[in-house]
Amino acid sequence: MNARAQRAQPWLGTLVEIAAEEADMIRLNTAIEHAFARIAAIHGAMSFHDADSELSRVNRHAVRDWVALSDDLAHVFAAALEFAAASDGLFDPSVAPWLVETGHLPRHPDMPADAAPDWQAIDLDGDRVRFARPLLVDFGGIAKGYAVDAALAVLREAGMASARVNAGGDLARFGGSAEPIRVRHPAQPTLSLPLADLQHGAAATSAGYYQPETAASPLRHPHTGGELCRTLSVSVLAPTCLAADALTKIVAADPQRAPALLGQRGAQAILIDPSGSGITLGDAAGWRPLPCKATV
Amino acid sequence: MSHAPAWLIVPALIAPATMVSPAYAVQYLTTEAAQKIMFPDASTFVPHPVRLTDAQKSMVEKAARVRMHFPEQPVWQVMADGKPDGWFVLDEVYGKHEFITYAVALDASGAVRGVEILDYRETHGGEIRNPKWRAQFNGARHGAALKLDEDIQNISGATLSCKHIAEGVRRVLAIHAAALK
Repeated sequence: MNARAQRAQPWLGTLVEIAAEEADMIRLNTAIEHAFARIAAIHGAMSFHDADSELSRVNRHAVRDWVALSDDLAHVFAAALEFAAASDGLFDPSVAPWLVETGHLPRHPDMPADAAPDWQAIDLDGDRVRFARPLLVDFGGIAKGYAVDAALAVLREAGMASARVNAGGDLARFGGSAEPIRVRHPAQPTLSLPLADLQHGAAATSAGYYQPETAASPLRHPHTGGELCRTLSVSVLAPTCLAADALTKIVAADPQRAPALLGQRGAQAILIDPSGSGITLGDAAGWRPLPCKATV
Repeated sequence: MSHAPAWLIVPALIAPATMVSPAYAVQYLTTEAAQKIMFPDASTFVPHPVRLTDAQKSMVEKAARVRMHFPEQPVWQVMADGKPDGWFVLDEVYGKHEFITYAVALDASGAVRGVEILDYRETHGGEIRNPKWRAQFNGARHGAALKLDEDIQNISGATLSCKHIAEGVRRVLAIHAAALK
């Protein structure tokens, strides 16, 4: 009989919940402790808010010279550039100047004030990076997705029978029997809808809920700067949480172009649009309405 | 063990207009369990509730830039090997949708050793008012409530919880400076 533990701590600007099952209670608690430590380390490296984080050092210095990257940051830079290239910039890690302008991200006085979005100005060479012009890079959601994947890997390597990591909507799990995943209703965020039964893999959701109605949405179209997701919720199921999170941004920016990329990544997307088309499912085969089934 | 990606999309299921609001709640740790996890080497936890004077209260509010609704704070002094080893502070924060009980572990110097969530509750709700949105589910049986079991665990969607907890930790540190040094 497996023991089960579930804990939550504030990291990555959200609540991170870790649950796991394993026969031995001590091994279980130690593994969860190590998984939180992994998340704390990634939080420390990739925080845009923290002026002393590794990412902040990159934003400050990479326009002048090469900056060496830790393995974690090099991995996320590479993944971000891969998604940016594959989506022609629909996914763009350099839109932080817009978010600083609207107050969603802090303004650091010693960082370039003339930064503008331009992901192609990021020059990544293995474990070092430089910027061809002043940039502000923020990995936001994909750093969260990466942290979820990394914490789940710690739990898998520690031999847990099953485990789940959920960082405020970016979640991944393995083992045991499939668990229902729910998503908040975009127009009524205290209500939730069932999305999928997840056995092994990841899910991420982007939506504009919990933003004051007068405030600008932090999700922006990378080409136009227009707001995304004000009443729309985009969820993606994918093999990794990093991919799931990046794909939510691409689906929100251009649903018509998304199926090809979803197919490449073995992912599926679910769009919930309370003011229009209802619920649609998208994957390599294109978009189609999700059949609605009544149950009691 | 195979860990090939596997999931099954659930056909959309939604409640009719008469649906009652759910209450989402999860308890992660009891106070005792949180104490043990945050201070595994401690021998005893001595209750040391703090009641701030008016002067201390305004000191805390000024230092932490947040209002204090209650001048009392549940605090335990942590003892290890017969010596003071830090503080265990229980606190609560609430927003429009959430109510969170959490604990802050401070080491003997007053620095934060860790933060653990004990209870997370969402108590507010509402009805789905958009008729067009409801209309697409006309096939659903009216009166059938969305199944909202006690064990809803996997909600995908961000919240504002963290901002409130960050403010709360700032307040706990100011209380330590004002009353526990």
